[in-house]
Amino acid sequence: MSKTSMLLSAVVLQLAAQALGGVWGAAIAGIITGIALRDRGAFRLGFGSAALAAALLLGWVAVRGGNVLHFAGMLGGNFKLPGAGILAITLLLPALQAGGMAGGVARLARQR
Amino acid sequence: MVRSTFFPLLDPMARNIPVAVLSLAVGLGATWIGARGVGEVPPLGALLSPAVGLWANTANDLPDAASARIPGLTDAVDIRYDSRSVPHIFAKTELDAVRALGFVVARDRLFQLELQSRAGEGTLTELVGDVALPADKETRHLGMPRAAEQRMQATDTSSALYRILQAYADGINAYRASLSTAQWPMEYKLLQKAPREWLPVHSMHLLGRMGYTLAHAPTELDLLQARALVGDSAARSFWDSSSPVQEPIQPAPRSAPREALAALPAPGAPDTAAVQALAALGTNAGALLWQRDAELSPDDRSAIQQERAFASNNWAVAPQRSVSGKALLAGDPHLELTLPSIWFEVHMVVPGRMDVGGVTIPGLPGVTIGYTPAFAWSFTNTGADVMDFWRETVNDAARPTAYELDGQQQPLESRVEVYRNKQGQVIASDTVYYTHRGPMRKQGREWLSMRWTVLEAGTELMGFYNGLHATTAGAFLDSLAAYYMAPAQNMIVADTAGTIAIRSTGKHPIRANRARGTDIFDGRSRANDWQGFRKVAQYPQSFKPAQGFLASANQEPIDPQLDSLYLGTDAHYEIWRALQINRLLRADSAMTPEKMRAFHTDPGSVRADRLTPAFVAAAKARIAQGDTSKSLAAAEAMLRAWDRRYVRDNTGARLFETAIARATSLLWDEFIPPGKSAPVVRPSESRLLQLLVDSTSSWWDDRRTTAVREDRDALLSRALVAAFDTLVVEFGDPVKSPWTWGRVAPAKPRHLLRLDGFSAPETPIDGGRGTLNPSVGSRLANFGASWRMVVELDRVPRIRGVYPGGQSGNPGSPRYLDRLAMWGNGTLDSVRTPRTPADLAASDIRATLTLTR
Repeated sequence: MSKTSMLLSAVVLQLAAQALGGVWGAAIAGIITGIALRDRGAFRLGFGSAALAAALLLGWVAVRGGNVLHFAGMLGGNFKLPGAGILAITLLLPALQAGGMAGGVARLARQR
Repeated sequence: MVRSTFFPLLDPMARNIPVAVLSLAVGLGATWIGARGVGEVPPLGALLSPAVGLWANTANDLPDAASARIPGLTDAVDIRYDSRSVPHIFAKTELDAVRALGFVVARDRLFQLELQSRAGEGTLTELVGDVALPADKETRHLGMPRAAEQRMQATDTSSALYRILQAYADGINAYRASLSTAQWPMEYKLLQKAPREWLPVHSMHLLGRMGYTLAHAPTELDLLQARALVGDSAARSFWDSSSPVQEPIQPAPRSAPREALAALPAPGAPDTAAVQALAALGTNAGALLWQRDAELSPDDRSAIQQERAFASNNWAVAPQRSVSGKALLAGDPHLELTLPSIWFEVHMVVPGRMDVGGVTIPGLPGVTIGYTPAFAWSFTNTGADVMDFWRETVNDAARPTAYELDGQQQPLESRVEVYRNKQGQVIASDTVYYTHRGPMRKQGREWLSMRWTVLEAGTELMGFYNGLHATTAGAFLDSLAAYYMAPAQNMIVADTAGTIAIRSTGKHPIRANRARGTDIFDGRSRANDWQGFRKVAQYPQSFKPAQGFLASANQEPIDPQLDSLYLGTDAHYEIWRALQINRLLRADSAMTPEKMRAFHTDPGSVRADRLTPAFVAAAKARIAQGDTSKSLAAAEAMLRAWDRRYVRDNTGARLFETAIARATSLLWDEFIPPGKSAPVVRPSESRLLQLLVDSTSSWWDDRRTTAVREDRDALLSRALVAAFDTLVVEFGDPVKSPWTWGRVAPAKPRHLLRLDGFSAPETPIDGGRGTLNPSVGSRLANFGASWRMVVELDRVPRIRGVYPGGQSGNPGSPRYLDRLAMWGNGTLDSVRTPRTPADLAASDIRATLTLTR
C-alpha cells in the first residue's frame, strides 16, 4: 500500500472515529492504525491523520454555517487564550491521542 | 556500539519497549486530559472535539426547514421564523400553541430555562457546583421552593392552569428528547451535565424567582440601624416617610410635581431601644436575615442597590396628544443585562381565539409584555413593601417545635433542606422552620418569621391568559387584577379605541391598625398579622386621564396626600426618571412613535439639572472665599461647561457621578458605626434635594473633622476636588485624555455563567443614572433596558421593539448578538404581526418548523 493510500485510509478512519466516538474516537482509531501498520512511521501517520481529520471536521462545521475563526476567539476568551491557541489545541489533542496510541501499539506489535 | 555498552536496552529490538511505553503514555495522557481534564483544566477533548464538542454548536442552528414531534399535540402547528428570528406560531388550539411555545423557547434557550428555574428552586449547585451554595441557601431560606411545590400540589390537574403548564412542559421536553449529546447547548458541555426534564413546577419556581428579583427589598434593618445611630426622629425622616418630591403614577390633579423640601430633623442621640434590638439580632453592621445581597459589604450592598435601581419605564399618550390621533404606548423594563437576554420574542396565533405577540420569559408559558390586535401593554415594577417580619417567642431557643400565639403554643412546621453537588452528593443540609406567617429563622438571639406576598402567588398566568381574550384596555387590566398577586407591577395599557390606562396591580398588604411595614412586629399576637390586602379599587390607577398621558418609572405610585395607606417608603422608590419622563411628556402635545423611541435613550436628566448647579455654585463660592485649589477650579469649569446630557461622547458626566458618590460618602458620616469606616446605611439620593435648600443643616458637617464645621458649600467642594483628583489618577489628565462617557461607562451584557468569551463587547450608550436609560455596567452588576417597545394603536397596531442580544442562547450562533448594535444605538426594529402564515412574505421568512404528533 502506498504512503498516500495509507494516509487516506487513516484519515477516513479518523473521520469516522472522531465523528462517532467523540473524545475517545481519535485514540481508538490510533490503536487500529498502529495494529494495521506495525511499521515505522505509525506515530507520524496517526498524528497526521487525526489532525487532518479534525481539520476536515472543522471545515465541515464552517460549511454548515459556523464562523470557526470568530468562535475560536470567543472560546479563547473563556480560557484566557488566543483563538489560534484554541484552534491549535483542537487539532493537537486528537493528534497526540492518535499518534501516541498508534506509535506505541505499532512498536509493541513489531516486538512480538 | 557505545550506546549498547552503556544501555543494553538500546538494542534495536529491545529499544522498542521504552519508546512504545513513551508513545502510549503520550496517547493515553492526551486521551485522559481530553476526556477527564486535569485540575483546573476542563476535559478539552470533549469540549473541543469538532464533531461533538463546542464546535458542533457553531453550525447553523436554525435550518431553513425542520420538523419535529410533540406527543399530545392535537393538530399540526405551522411555525414561521421571520427575518428577525421571531417564531410566529400558527396553531389550531391554545394548548397546541403553548406546546409549540415550549418547543421554540427550548430550541433557542434550553440552558437558560434550566438555570433560571433552578435559581428559583434553590438547586443551582446540582448544575453549576458548590459555588452556588450561598445562593441556593438564600432561596430555600426564603421558602421559595416550598411555596412553589405547595402551589403545584394545590393545583387541580384538570384545571386550566395545570394544563397550560403541562402543555408547555411537553413542548420543552419534546425538544430536549430530540437532541443528541452533540446538540446539547454549550453550557451543558462545559458543565458536563445533561439537560433535565422540565416539570410544570419549574415554571412556578421561575415565577418565584421573578418575585425575588422584583419584590424583595426589606428596609426594616436599615431603619433599625439608622435609629441606633441618629435617633428615632431623624432615622424615620429618611426610612419611614414618603418621597420629598411627588410625581406619582396615579396622576395628581396638578400640572407639576409636588415638592415638600422641609428641613430634615438633625441627627440625634442613638435610640437605646434600637441599640438593644440590634444587639439581640447580632447585626450591628451586618445584614438582616432575608435581606437582599446579605453577603456583600454595606458599601457594595448600597452600590448594587442603586445600580439595580429597578429602572423600568412605561408611558402612554392619549389620542388628543398624538399627531396621528391614535393612542401610543412605550415600555422598557430594566433588568440585569444577560446573554441570552431574559426575554425571547414570539408571536402566537390561534384563529378566532388568540393573537398575541411580544416577549416571553423562558420558563413562563405566556407573553409577559406585548400586544394583541386590540391593545398593547407594558410593566414597571411597583417596588411596594410586601415583605414583613415578626419577632417570635419559641419554646426551645436551640431546636424549637412551637411558637407562642395569642397565649397558646402553636406547632412549627420544619423542612430539612438538602443541598447536592453536580454528582448528586450531599454537600450541606439545614432546617427551615415555618409559622403560619412564613419561614422562621434565628438571627442573633431572636427568632424572626417573615411573610411575603411572593410566597402566596401562583395564579398570575391565568390573568394573562384570560386577559388575552379581552378587547379593551380596561378588560385586560381587570383580568390581570383578578389573578395577579406578585410581584406587583405598574401595568400600563393602551387600546385601539384610544383608551390609555394604568394600574399598580398586585397584592398590597394592609397591616394591623393601618401600621406601616417599617418595623419588626411582635409575633405573639395574631392582631399584629396582616389584616388583608388592598381591594382593586384601592390600587393606584388611572383610566383616560384628563392630562392625556400616563407614566411610571418606579416612583411612589400615589401621592400620600391623596391616599395615606402604607405602600412603601421613599427607600422603595426612585423619583428622577419619573420627573424626566413627565417633563418630556408635558412639554409635547404632538407626540409621535419616533419621539417616543427617542425618549428611551433621551440623555436628559432632571437629577443632573437639579444637582449639578449645586456643585458649581459651591465651588464658585469657595473660590470667591479664596480657595486656590487648581483641581477645584478645573472641576468647576468642567461641570459648568457640561450640558448635563448623558450622550456617549460627553465628558462631564463622569465627574458629576463621581462627585455625587464622594459627596454622599462624606455626607452620611453619621451612619458610620463606632469602629467602622463606612456607613452601614445610606438614605435615598432624593434627600439631597431637601438638604440643598438647607445650607447649614448639621447633616452637612463631617463629624470626623472635629476642628471644622462644614456647611453645604464646603462639603460639596471637597467632594468635587476628591472626585476630580480620583479621575485624574484613573483616566488621566482630562485635557489630554477626555473622560468620554461612552468609554468609561459602557453597557456590557454578560453571559449567564459570567463567561467573558461569551459576553458582549463593551457597548457605548447614551444615558446614565437619572436618565430614562440608566444602564450601569460595573464590577458588581450590569443593568439596563432589557426590552424596548413602542406601539401605535392604529386599526392594526404598529409595533417596534428591540432587546440587547439575540434570539439564540447559543454563543456560537449568528443570532446570539445580532440585536446588540441596534439596541446600543437606541433604534427599534419593526415587529411583524402576520395573522396567517401567508401574511409573512417569503422574503421575510428565515426558517420554518412544522410540529406534528
